[in-house]
Parts: sequence; structure tokens; C-alpha cells
Amino acid sequence: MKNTLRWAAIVCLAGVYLLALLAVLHPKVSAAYKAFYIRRTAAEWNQGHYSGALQDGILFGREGLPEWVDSLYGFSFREPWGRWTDDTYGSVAGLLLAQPVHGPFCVELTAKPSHAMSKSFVLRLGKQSQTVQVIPGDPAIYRIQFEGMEWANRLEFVMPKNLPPETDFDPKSGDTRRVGMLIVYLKMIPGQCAPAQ
Amino acid sequence: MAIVSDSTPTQPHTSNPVVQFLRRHPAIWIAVVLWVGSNLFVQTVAKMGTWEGQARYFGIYNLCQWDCGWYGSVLEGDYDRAPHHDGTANWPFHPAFPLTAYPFRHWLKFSLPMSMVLASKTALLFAIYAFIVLVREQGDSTADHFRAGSLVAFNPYLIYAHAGYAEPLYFALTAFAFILASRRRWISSGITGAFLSLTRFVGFLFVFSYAIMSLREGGWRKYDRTKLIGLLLCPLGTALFMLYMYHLTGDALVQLHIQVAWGKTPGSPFDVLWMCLTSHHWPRVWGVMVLGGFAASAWLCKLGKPEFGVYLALAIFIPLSASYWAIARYIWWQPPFLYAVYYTLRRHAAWWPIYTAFAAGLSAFMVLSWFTGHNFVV
Repeated sequence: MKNTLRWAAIVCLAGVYLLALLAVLHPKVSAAYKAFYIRRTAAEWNQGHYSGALQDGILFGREGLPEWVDSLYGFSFREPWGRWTDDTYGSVAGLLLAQPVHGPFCVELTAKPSHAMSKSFVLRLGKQSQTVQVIPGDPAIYRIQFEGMEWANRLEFVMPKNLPPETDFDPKSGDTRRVGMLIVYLKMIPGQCAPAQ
Repeated sequence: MAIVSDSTPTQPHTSNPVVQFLRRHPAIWIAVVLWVGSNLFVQTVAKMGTWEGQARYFGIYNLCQWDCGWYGSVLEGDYDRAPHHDGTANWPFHPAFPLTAYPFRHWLKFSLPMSMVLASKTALLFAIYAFIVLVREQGDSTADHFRAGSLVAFNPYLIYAHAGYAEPLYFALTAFAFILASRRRWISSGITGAFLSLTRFVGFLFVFSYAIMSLREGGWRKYDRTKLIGLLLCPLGTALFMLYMYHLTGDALVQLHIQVAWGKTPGSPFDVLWMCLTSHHWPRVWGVMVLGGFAASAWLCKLGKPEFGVYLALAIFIPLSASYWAIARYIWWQPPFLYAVYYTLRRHAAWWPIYTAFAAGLSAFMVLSWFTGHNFVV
């Protein structure tokens, strides 16, 4: 009898640890929570939301996020002029969309490269990717076309890995972030991009 | 006045059962005396701080500051279901300590800060007693007990035992778990270990010490089911807390993940240590304390106490891998560390006055800093 009780205790305790292990392996949390607390790919928690449609775009220097954006990851903290992609938070920065989108889309963004960005980066919407050549200097407008896209809920900027810190180019700045592109404004327009003027 | 050993059989006879009981168990009354002394010390230094017009101390409830408020939020409103707007939450604060404040808050109807402070002060009494029993093998006279207990009662980081923190409860449970395991009371030790892992995150580390101690008794061949149950009980508090938090928030590791809200991210403890040692002021002091902790750990292993040494090293490594903040209290409220201090001072008795001066000075400074708004005391 005593032996049976002991074995029962061992099995129960082992069961508790098994359950705890399963709980660790299968967290049930939001993407924003996962980005900030678990993967540590987000600079801020709970940025708050304001009303705004997909066509209105997102001004990265504004506090909070429009309703169509669930959360951001891979970006540095907000500055009045926008947000830098920051390699500290991973080489992929992105927007998690509140609702998935599909069909042809034109992504229009106003952005500026850092000193470390000399060539190109990849813009990814769902499974489609486009290589974008950077325009050095002041913020420029980029229009990137995505055709016949299946349902997608992420728009991602894939930056070159291991970007050097800004202090390598401007030691006086004291900015140790490994920034890639400064995103000032981004808009997702259903359909085709307007022809360049 | 000559100090007579408790074990001396020629003590005057008395029929009072309480006196007889205390004579048989001198560690109890010695712990009470030291506990009263410790309370008087904190009270006096805090009062003196107000005379100089800087300390804000009006009563013992004022001791409840910093993390005490977080522990209080657990007692008052359960764990947060989601992080606050600033990303923080009360998730790192394990439930055992707030639960010990429950009788003060809900049965005796004290205010929340008062309940938290009284709970930690009560735990201090047990911590002093437990440490006296833990080091009894080193010397069993009244003077030995006083010296041993004074290391806890007048710890340099004494303030945390009076301020509604989990430190004294953690210390008491760690010491009791070691004592029970050394007496081969495996199930009791395992149950104490389970409560220990429900008190602070690093409490689960006792499973390693338990494994060392239980394996020393005959190795694998004589590892019976009782020992195995005790071993499995040790981290039970951690596992149950994880399951509860999973049920509440969807994340079983919230107590780790939430640390990012305070700027703590896992990294190399050696990097943190190097940063401490190459910095100035408090970080360097804490870095030296960490080195002292590791040295004590190695020395305990050399003394044939690997269960203490391993526990101490791991209990420093884990918090150090995230940050150096609060590392001093994590070191000074470890029974193995104070065991090493006690052992050293027993071998080199001339160092007692130096140590006492250091401990008294630092503890008084910490109490004053506690009430004058310095954040290095967190």
C-alpha cells in the first residue's frame, strides 16, 4: 500500500512537471507580447492605437499606431521624424497587420538610409519579396508593387545582417544603435502604384 | 559575565516548563533576543534619520517601499492579467511571501504596508533561528549561537528583513531545507524546498543541493523512492506558479519575460561582472561582493560542503546574468554565504570586531538611504 502511494506521488509530480513543460513550449500570447517580452524584437510595449484606415498610412513619428497595425517589431524607439530599423532588435523589422490583406498592393514609403546602408534591402509582404535599391541622402519616396498576393499579415523590411553602429561613422553622435532605414511614412494602397512623375 | 554553554548539565533546576523548554532549546530565546535587537536597531537608526530632517519615517509601515508595494499588490489584487501601460507587472514577485502577510492583513486587519512589514519581520525571527540551527555543528555554546544569529539579525543588508521583502522568508526556508536534508528527512526537506521555490525564482536551485546531499547517502544504488519524491518536490512551487501564470496570462515564464520591462535581458554574467568592476562607486562595490560570493562558493566546496557552494554559485549566476541591480541583497541573504562568513570568523576570531564594524556601518547606512529616496537600495 505504502509503495503504491509512493509511486502515485511520483507519477503525480512527474505529471505536474510535464504540464509545466507543455505550458512553456506553447505560450498563448499576442504577437505584440511575444515581440516585446519573449523575442525582445520590439522596443516598446503597448503603443496604443488611434483610428486610421490602411489607405491613410502610418506616420512613424506619431505616438501610437493606427488601427490597421497590430504591432511593430525590429524598430528602434519613436523619434519625431520617424523610426529607424534597428539591428539590435533583429535584422527583420516589420508591421504586423491587424487584418490580413490580399490582392495587388502598392507599398509607398518615405524613408532614408543610415550611413551603413549603401545598397539595398528587401521588402517582404506575405510570401512575396522585392529588392529595393536605397536612395542616399534625404528621405525619398519609394513605391514598391506587389502583384497577385495571397493573404498576408506582415510587411517586413529585411536589412543586411550585422550592420555597424552609427558611432563607426560619426563617433561624436554617441548613437550606438545599428540602424538601417529611417521610415518616416508608410502607406499600403490596394491596386497598382501610380506611375512615377 | 561568563557565558555558559547550553549543553552544560549543571544548570540550576527549575520546575517552570517554559524555562525548561527554553533551556533545552536555547536557539529559540537567543533568536528572539536578537530579533528584538534587530528591530530596535532599525527603529533607532530610522528615527535618528528624521532628526536630521532627511528621512521620511513616521512608523514602521513606512518601511514598506519599492518591491514591498509589488508584493502588496499580489496580496491585495492577485497577479496582473496583462502588463501595465509602462510594460511592468507584478509577475516577478512570487506568491509565498505575500501569502504570509495574509493573516496580518485579513485576520488582524492591519493596513497593507503594515501587513507586509510585519510578515517580513516575523520571517526574520525564523531566519535567525534557522541559521543558528544550521551552523550548530560549528559550535553549540550560547556564545556561538549569539554570534551565528547576529550575522542574520545584523546583516549589512538588514533593511530588507524589515521592509516587506521576501528575503527573510527565503533565507529561513533555504536554511530549513538544508537542515532537514542534512538530517535525512527527505520528504520534509522536499516540501520546504517546494515552498522555497514558491518564494523566489532562484528557490528551485535547491533541487541541485538536494540531489548532492541525497546522492552522498549511498549513491544511485540506494536512491529509494522517498528520496526521489523529495527531489521531485523541491521545484514544485516553481512548476505550480508557472501553471497558474499560464492559466492567467498564457505565458508560463512571465516571471522571466517581464524582466525586460525593467531593462533586464539575459546575457553573460561575466560581462555584467566585468562592467561592474570597471565602473565606479556602487557597481564596483557590488562587483567585489560578487567576487566574494564566488570565492565563498569555491571555498565551501573545498570544505566538503558542495551543496552550499553549488547553490550559492548558481544563485548568484542567475540574477547576475540579467543585471547587477539588487545583486548585493541576493548575496547577503543566502544562508551558504553567511555560513562561509561564520566559518571564517570562527577560524579567525580576531576579525569579529572588523566584521561587526563593517556590518553595523553598512546596515545603518542602508537604513538611512532607504528613507532618503536613493534608488540604489532597491
